[in-house]
Amino acid sequence: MARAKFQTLTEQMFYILLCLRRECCGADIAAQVASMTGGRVAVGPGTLYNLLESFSQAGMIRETRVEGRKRTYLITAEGQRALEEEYRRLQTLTADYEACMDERGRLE
Amino acid sequence: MRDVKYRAENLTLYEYRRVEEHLSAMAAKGWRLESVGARLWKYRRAEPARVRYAVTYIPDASQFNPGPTEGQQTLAELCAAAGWEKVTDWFQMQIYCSEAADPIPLETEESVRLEAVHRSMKRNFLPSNILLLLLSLVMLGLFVRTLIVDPLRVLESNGSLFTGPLWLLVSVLLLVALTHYGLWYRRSKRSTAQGGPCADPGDVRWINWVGFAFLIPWTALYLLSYLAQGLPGPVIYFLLHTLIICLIILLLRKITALLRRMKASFGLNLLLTLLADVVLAAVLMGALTFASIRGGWFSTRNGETYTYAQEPWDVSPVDLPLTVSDLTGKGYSHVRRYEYHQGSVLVSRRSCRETVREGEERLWLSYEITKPRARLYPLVLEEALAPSEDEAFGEIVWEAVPAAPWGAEAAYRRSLGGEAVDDWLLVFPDRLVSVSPDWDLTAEQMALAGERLKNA
Repeated sequence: MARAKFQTLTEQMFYILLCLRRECCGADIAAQVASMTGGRVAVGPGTLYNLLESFSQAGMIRETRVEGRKRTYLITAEGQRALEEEYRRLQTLTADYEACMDERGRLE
Repeated sequence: MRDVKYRAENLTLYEYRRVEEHLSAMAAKGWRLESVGARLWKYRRAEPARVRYAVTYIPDASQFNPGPTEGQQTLAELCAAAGWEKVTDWFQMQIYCSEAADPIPLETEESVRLEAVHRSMKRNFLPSNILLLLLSLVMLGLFVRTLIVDPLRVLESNGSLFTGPLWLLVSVLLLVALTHYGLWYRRSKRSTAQGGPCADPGDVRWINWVGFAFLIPWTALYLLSYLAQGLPGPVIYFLLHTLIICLIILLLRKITALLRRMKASFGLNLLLTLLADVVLAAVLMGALTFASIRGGWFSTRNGETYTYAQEPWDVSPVDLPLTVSDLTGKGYSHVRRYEYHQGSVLVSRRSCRETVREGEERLWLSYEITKPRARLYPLVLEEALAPSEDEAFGEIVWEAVPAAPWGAEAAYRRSLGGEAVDDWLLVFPDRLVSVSPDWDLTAEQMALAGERLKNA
């Protein structure tokens, strides 16, 4: 079944929102995500543009400044909530994994 | 050696992968895309190189916008930072290229790509195609209804015989194209929801090829059917009509581009382009129709006339198989003749009319020769003899009269409200002839008319 929009975040969505805890422009986001993940996660410009548009429309980020063609964004309370929910979801996954592995270790 | 090349590309907006591969292949052959026009893609010669092309979509992009939107500019900035150079755009599709060895792909999240493609399709391909599908279904329905209720109306018109199957073809191809997209979108949605890539749409070029494979011979057949009847007029009309449509498309594209350069707003550009479309269509099509009537493209009548007794008369009247002079044996100083061919490859109709004047004497004669294909003869005869009702004259019926004076197999005379008039229907083995003289014909005149018209 298809996931509802932004109910869970993909890696790229997650890192983009994470970068936007501080005011940031699009090009900086791409660079920050690459450096934050050691190049493991790359955000293509087309994807970044469309995600920023979608996040803005969903009220998860807001535009803070426009200087020429450069636009800067910042996460909103709604975006922060989505980010925290995703963090908790990932924690639950991790906890479930650890619980399973611990049990398996005990049985062995 | 040419430096510029134009190609009509058989591509659809959502075939991003094929667009990318095609443009990279063209660059490898030494042709770089420069711009995309109304119908043709323009390439410029360059050193063959390994250039990577990639496309992305901006759903709110439009050719009616006054220059690139803020979104397009922002995207270009992001792409430039990632090593991609803007080439051009094709509706909502934004085309970029890079000569870097391994640039970051434009799209790295398939679900985001799919959503952008779908939103773009909803702005462009889907509404226009759905509208065209509805129109073609309505036209097809009307064609089928006429074929059932009044088959002769379809069978005796080359135009109906030509356009009816075309509406069927258009409906089927549009249905196939829309279904193909719908299925691709559903498969892609399912795949991206599971973290997979968008589905491969496959090669959809065959839809257009099927269309052309039918359209070209069908159109040729339509035009040849007129030429075979010795009627170049409708062929000229059709070719000019097609040329005008191409001209209108080109002019509209230029007008939109001009308004864009003048920084007209989206709404104003759209409004003025639509207005120009209506005006150009009305003026050019009107001029064509006027020229065709004035030039007698659908009829045979010599253009040069003179006026006598407040009526136009032909300087050089056309030849007709039967004239008033043939019947009366007299010569007339003033003659006006008119011949009109209609019908189809299945049922041909040739209508002739002549008016003559000599002093105070003024006579006219008109007749129509209908030649149906053998199997259609009974249908044509039945239709011709069918009674009808007229508000002024009451019931109109054809009453059987002796055929011998005409040398025909059967003959009928029209009766209006119970009163016989000088309209005759003559049945010959291969044709029906209706004759309407404005005087009472003698037996000799009937025999001569029958003899001439059964061999005309």
